[in-house]
Amino acid sequence: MKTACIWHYIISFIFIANLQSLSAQSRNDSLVKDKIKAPLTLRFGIDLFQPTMSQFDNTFKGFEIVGDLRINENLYLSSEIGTLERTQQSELINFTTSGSYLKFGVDFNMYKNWTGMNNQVFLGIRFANSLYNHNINNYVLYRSEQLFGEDLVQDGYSTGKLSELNAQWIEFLVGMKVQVLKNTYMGFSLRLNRLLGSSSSENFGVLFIPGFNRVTDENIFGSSFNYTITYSIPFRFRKSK
Amino acid sequence: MKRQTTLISIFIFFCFTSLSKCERDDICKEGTSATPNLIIRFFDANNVNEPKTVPFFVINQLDDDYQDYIRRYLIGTDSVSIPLRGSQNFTQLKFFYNWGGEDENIDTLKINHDRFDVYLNRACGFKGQFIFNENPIEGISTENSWIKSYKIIKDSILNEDSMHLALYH
Repeated sequence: MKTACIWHYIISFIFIANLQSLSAQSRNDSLVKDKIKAPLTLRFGIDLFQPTMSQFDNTFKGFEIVGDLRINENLYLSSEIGTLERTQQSELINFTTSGSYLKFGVDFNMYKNWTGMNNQVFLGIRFANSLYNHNINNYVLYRSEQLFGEDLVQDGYSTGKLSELNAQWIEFLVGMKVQVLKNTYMGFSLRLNRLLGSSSSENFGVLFIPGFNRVTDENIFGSSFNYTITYSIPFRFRKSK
Repeated sequence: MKRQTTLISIFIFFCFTSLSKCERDDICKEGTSATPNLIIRFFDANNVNEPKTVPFFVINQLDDDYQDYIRRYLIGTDSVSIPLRGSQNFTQLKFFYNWGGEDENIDTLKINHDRFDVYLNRACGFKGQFIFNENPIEGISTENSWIKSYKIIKDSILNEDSMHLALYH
């Protein structure tokens, strides 16, 4: 009975303390409300790296559209949509990956701008999904000794198309965007990807995913980056004060 | 200030992860089961359970010179492992009985097989696995051949744990 009383005392104490801190918070919030609302800004552009690579490297063909919508002082809804076709030699296997991906998430600006400026240093998170195909062009049979020379398999057996593969992952990114001309921004972002799920074909592994890039056998992390040029269109829904 | 420090540390972390290009899975681990060889053992034609050694046993390819070999056993052997071709669905090899001796005898074996390939991992790629065809061994049990008959012990060649083919002489 005595212990129950003590517990009752402790719990109600914590509860009341919480209530007080809550009311203190809401008082703080009312101060923030007085700030000037930032206008909704739609910004879209392209990734510069992939089209440039496509010019110089004929095993690579890629394009990515990026866009974000400013919904708050420091908060942006962001998205990337891209397609990629890439042929690569991975040790003994030569294969082509083609597919598209969609990434969607938010960026949080951490840079305190001077009034009128809109530069960004941001942290972000994305959920991404990719639909793609693999085509195994050729491979060399793995042997412990090569008596008859290398067995290069170019058709039949396990070569050919593996279609309707998909993968989902989450990206953590850090990046910046700098205004270079009126309403025009250049920026880059570095991304750490963590694979959440992927469909793999019966007789081939997941070696590469468009948007995610190289997948290793040992772990579920990957990395990627983009280098963007974007143009922004500000518009307002709310009446300005 | 605290924000900036975390930002910078995350940035450095990103740099390092993207720089580390050489990874463990680029190297095919030793001991990974590769495309298996065909394991043949030789037995006495008169006493089929008794292993019988082939004296000075040499195996070479059809277009090889007399001195060339892919397998050579000076003091003879009763078992041999040979690779099967991946580029065609048969493997043709010359089997020498007592190479260079007076009773030298050459049998040209044609082993008919199909193949299917199994994915291992990124570094090792694919390995082949073989199945004997309906008419698995040709070129033996003629009048002059030293190999009298054969017996398929395992009709699929998946690993090198035990013999696949027994030859009687």
